[in-house]
Amino acid sequence: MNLFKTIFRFEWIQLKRQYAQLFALALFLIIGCYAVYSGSSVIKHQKTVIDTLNQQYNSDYELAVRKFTDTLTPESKAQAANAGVPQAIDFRLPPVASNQPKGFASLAVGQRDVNPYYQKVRSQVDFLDNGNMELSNPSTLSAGNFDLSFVLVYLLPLLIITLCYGSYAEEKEQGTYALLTIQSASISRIMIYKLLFRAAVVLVVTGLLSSIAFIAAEIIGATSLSDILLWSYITLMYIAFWFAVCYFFIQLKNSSIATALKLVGVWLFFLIALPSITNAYLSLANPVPLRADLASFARHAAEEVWETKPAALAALFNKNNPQYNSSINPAKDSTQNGQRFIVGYYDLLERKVSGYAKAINDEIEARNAQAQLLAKFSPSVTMQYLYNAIAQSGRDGHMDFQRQLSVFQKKWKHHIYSRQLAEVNFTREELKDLPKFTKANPTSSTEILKGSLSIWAGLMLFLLLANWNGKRESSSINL
Amino acid sequence: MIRTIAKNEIISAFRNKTALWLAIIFYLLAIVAALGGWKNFSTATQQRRQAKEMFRHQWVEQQANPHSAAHFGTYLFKPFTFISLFDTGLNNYTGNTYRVEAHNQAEMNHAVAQDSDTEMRFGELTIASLFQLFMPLLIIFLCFRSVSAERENQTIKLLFAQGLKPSTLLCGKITGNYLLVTAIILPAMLMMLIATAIREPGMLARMSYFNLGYLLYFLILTAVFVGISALAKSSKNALISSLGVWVLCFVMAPRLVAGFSSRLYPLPSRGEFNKMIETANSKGLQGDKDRTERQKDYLKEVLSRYKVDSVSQLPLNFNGLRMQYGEDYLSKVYLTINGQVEESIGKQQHIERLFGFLDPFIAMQQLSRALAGTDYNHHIHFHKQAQVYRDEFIRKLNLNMAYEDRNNLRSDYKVGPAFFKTMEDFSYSQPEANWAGCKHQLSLYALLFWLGITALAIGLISKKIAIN
Amino acid sequence: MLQAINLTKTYNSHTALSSLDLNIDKGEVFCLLGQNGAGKTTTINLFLGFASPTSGQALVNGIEVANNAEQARKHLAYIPEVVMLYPHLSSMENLDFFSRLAGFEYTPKQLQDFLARVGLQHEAFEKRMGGHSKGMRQKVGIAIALAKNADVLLMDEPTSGLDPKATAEFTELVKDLGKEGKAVLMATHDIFNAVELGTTIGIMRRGELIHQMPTSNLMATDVQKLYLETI
Repeated sequence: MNLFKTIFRFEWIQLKRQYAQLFALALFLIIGCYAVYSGSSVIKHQKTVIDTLNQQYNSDYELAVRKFTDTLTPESKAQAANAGVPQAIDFRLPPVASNQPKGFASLAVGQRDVNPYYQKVRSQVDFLDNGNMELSNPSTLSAGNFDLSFVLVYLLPLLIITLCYGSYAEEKEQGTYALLTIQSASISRIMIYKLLFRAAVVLVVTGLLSSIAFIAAEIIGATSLSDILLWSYITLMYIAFWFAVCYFFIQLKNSSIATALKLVGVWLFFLIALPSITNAYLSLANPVPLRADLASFARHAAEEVWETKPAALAALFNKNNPQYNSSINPAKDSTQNGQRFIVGYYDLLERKVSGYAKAINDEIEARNAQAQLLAKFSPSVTMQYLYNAIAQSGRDGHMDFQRQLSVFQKKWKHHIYSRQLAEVNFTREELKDLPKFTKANPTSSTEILKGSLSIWAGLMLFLLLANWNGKRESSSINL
Repeated sequence: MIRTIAKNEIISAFRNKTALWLAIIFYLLAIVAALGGWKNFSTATQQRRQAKEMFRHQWVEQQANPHSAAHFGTYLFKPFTFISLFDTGLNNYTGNTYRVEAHNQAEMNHAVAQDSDTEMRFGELTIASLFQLFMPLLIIFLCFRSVSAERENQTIKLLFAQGLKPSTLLCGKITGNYLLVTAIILPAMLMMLIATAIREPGMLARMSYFNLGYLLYFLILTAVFVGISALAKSSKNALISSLGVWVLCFVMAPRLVAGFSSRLYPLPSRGEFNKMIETANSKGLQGDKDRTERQKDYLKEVLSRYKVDSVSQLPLNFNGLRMQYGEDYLSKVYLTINGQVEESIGKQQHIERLFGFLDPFIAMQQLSRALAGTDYNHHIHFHKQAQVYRDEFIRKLNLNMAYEDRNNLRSDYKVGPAFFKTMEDFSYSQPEANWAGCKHQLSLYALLFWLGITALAIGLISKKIAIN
Repeated sequence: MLQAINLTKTYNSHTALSSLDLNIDKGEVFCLLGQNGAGKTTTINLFLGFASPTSGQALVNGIEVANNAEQARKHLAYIPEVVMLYPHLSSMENLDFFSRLAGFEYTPKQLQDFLARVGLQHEAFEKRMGGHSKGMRQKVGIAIALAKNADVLLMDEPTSGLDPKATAEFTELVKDLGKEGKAVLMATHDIFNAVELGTTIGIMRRGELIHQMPTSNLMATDVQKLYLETI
């Protein structure tokens, strides 16, 4: 314990006096704070957009309500009679389903800048057009976000490397190593304590940065506690991983330049080379399908369904949707002007196209399953996945939103169809009870804990390698 | 003298085998990148060709009412240039399909990024990423000791005692290392040129500029990193500073600049954008009347042109004309509002290009994408042609309704292949290399600026080389 | 205190030290003379445990170094040819740090006494090592050795590069240490200095100890003559 205290005390004195290292630490903090600001501004913008949409909805709602009672002119009087027509409500008051960002999304923007995060829900689904994709500068998307997760995933390892690469070699190069071995019982313990000191410094700086980030992103309170713990847990684990890497290379006892080169090489491998190679493999093995045949199929299906005899289409619709059987009206249903023909057209088209779309979506899902598997080999990509998972800003978060959206869309469709088919209008009071979308935001901690296993495995691998190398070396005394 | 120093530098690089190993790693990665790029390029090209043929076939062979045909429309696919296999640039982030349909001005859709997860943000292995990111590291590894080691071995004293001028020492070091870099890179560049000459000779000019640009870029970097080695106290400091510069300029700066420019010129959200189009279309652009009024005026104009009093007396189907009138207005609205968005993105891009004067990596990245035809300018170049084609396409269908169909929009009016065949297929013409160059003049100037700066710096640094 | 029994060290085919037998008692100051490569530093490294013997034994206080380097080192203090310390720590801090490693916690007053004893100027106590001259660093190195309070001192050409005044101060210091009952093994090139401070002198050549004699009735010139004849 005395040795531990001595090393920490004198390492601290030396750290305080080494401007290069202090500069690196300060720079890291400043960059980190900027990243918090930068990530927050992206998410803040998204929140504003969602707020604007909600306000717009509210004013559209007011307008829709007013239409019921506005009977000043003959024109508006005619409109008032039709104010509650289900199709009109579907057109005028589509509910806004938004993927509200969690506070953590400011720290890990993830794919939120690429994926649409809100949608006006209507009774029909358009499989071909994702017309709600955000307007963006592709060059900004390709550069990526400068958020806290970027700083932690990319730059934190570099900080660790900067602090650690010389911890053995510099003793050697400045000539203090011999004296250390003479003065103390255990040089290997000194080396480990020196690394622990650096780990403590990194932990303090990262902890400080994270606290700033949590406050800035307004992540406070008991509800966020488990997320905060998860975030801290995976960050700690990543720091431990990089210290294990540094430990392995330090105890190879190369010169400081050689150690620095090797550690930078490892960084390059994990952060740039490995992900880009797996991406190359991914795009070869599982290319994103062109949706051309889906479009072609959709056109074909639309023509086919439109050509179907109204009576046949209505019969098919009734078979598929027995819940609406109470509104069957054979006379009306056998014309192209009947509601059953219109609803039946969209219903059957949706059924047909969604079957076809599923094949393409399955292909895309297979691609992403493959990507997740490959990510396990790359600690950096795994970390980004985990940060995104906590923030629910990754593809999984988006798909989760899409699933909830799809459930809600069905609910909305039913709400509209049940009236449209029965040709019953909404009353003014009923507008208050229109279905509203609320998104559930569960973060699965088991998923994150499971996802972190591969990094632990990597960490253990480097420690074992170091241990094995140490054993091999201890037989021959090395100075 | 420069020759002697350069020769010595090359010999010592060969002796310590660093250059050799780095070159081997570079070529292994380059082969993977090129083969992968080729496979992707040929698959994508084939996919697009098949899809294009399929849609053309379906279009030509249909028996349909022109308006419902317009509703279903068709799809256009952005073709890739051959060089894009070396620099995929923004291709994953820009949509690659364009939907042609009535009543709607579409955006380019289905970007690969939308169907991918976060790993895509870590970058792709392409020849360009090797040139832009890996080669600079290779140059750092070659150069970081170049001057500082002379000082550490005390040989610098001997060199100067022999009458060598410091600036000559620097130039010799730069020349030697640059020749090494060129020797490593030239075979790859030659192969790229040959492949282009065989596959797409029209792109040869672009490919040559592409290579020349990178040769210039490597020269700048060699000079910068030799300069750092000359200024640093020790080889270790030279290495750490060079790597610091690399991380700052190559890893952090692109993200910083992108964030900065997008905050400076914010874009409207999709919701706002759609709302603006919708509002402008129904209420009219500035100074224009609203939709109902516009259409009344138009009807009056047509009636007076044909000197009749009512629609039924017109020798044509007014609905066809009315729809085309609506399309024309929508097109005007779209061009105005989308023009504002494009202008904002253009301003963002301009900021990025300006940052090329601070960071040669950004300049090179911009130039490289431009020459490979994978930058934003090429994207909108395609989008514009597609949009013009779309307007013509819809016009032709509407006018057919107007002048051929007197039935007033009944679906039993149908036309067949004889008509649909007269509608030309879309064929995209790639802009010339000069066009791409003109759009990115600034990036080119930035690189030349850097060349000038490094030339000046050699003079300044050579006065500052410490002996001890 | 220090004992070498048939101590031999070969590197590949080269014999650095061959069958050295040596015994240094309490209060004895043993000076090893010899050309570069004669085996002086190898001998010291074997006692320090920085190298392991090919055959034979090196014993410190009866502890065999090869098997028990850490135990043996507790009894050793070492002054290398060029003392290098932490440039960002002051003389006091370096001394404090290395003493703590050896298990000693001194008060500032005691630390200052050690530094004063080795003749370091007062102004240099709180100055960082980075600005120290070689002589000053050497003095701090000796202070560290003193502060460890070890029975045995190993010195590898400690006076090389010191100015005459510093050398004289150093000589007095080592003499005092001998009187205090420490065993000292010092490798040196300085014959006159060796005769002045040593109690015993050994002359080495190509890994062998050729001559070994007490200095009590020796003149430096005699040793110089013998030295030149030997090598």
